[in-house]
Amino acid sequence: MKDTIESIVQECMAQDISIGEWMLRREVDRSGSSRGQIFGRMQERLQVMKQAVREGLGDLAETESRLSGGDAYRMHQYNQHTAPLSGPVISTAMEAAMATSESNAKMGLIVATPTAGSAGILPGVMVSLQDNRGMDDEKLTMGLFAASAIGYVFANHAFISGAAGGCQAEIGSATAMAAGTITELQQGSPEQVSHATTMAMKSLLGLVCDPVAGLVEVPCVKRNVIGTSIAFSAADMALAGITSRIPCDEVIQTMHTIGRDMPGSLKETAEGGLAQTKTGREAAERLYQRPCTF
Amino acid sequence: MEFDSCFDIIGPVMVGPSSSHTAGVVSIGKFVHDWLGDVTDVTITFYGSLASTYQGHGSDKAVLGGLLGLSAHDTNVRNAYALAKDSNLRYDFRFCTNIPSGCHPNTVYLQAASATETVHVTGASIGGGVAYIYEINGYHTSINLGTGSEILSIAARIKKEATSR
Repeated sequence: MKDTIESIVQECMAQDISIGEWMLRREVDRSGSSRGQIFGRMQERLQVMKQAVREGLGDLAETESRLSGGDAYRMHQYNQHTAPLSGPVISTAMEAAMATSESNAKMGLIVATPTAGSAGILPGVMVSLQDNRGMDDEKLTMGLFAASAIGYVFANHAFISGAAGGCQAEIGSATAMAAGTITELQQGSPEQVSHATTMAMKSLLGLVCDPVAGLVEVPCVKRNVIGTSIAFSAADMALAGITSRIPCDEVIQTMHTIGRDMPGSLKETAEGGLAQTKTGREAAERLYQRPCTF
Repeated sequence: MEFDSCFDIIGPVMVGPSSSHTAGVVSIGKFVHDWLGDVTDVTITFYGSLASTYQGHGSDKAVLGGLLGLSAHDTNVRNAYALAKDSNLRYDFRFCTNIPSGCHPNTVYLQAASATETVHVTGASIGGGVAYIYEINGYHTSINLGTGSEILSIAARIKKEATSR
């Protein structure tokens, strides 16, 4: 695996193209499919994301475990009837991220970005940029190519699953991808995209994967929601010309090292962290004493 | 390279809740289905993180759904136990929270049979919906079931290579 964030940024600057365009061209080269086919496949994913948000916002039901559900609706009502402190851009992203993650917890249809546990952040950001900044589907689809370029480096140089690297690998990677994507969609340079990605990732290094009862609900759903605000903060810093003192690829390497050092009890096994709080253990006992349904 | 396509990162389109514990596990089950045709008997061993948390992630429904020929984006995966009953699929689950030396935390071992043949498959769901098949009938393999893979054609090709060995 030779591609790094630095090498991709340099290639983009040399060819005067965006990071999204770089990834789209790479996919054409590797797959043999046409540019139009690949663009269409990515645009279909955007539609699935938007549909999951629509369904999730109107769904007040709790999940089978009763550990999540109905909060996207609450967030939406609050956003409609007050002036949320986070402002329209972040608050819309928050409700859309929550809708997606709640839908995921109910075995609904979602797009893994890069994983299902972190599937709320990127759609949240996309829906908000469409609603609040008028970005059309074509533009957002190019954003998804940029996001995939960043995630591709994370996945091959570190990891993207909680079981392998802790929550920093899931929510961390997804937030970093979203931060870079926002920056690119706001006309930031490839270098600024790299800095936004880095600043988002640095703020989530070390985050452990400690799901209550092993379910992708507590704390996953709310970490998706808050990931959107970290992504916008990191993008705003990069667009202001602020840079990360540690280069992106070194931060990705650090995430890998931290994930390797993290004990197994904090990597999606539900044997540590929030899963082992008094309330977390009670939830697990309640769930796993259910009579068999088959 | 384990993650090569942009659709390995933005994707798969899948039923929740976990790409590594649901979607990738469906693909391992489906590989065995596509190798054997209709599966009649299966023993499923979940290792590591899958053994600890399969209930919450629906990994049991995922592997059964795959063994019945469903894909990760099929919302019928939710109903896999009912479908297994309708199809007379006999299954036995085993759980081992230790991870075999050198194996990925999300490893699955399947001993499966159709009316005419048996296959032993070891795979792992490595994250983002991507799965790997590491061993078939005692032979080491490295088969990438990336997102959007045509699992049926991959299984047919590998089986042809194996029978000519």
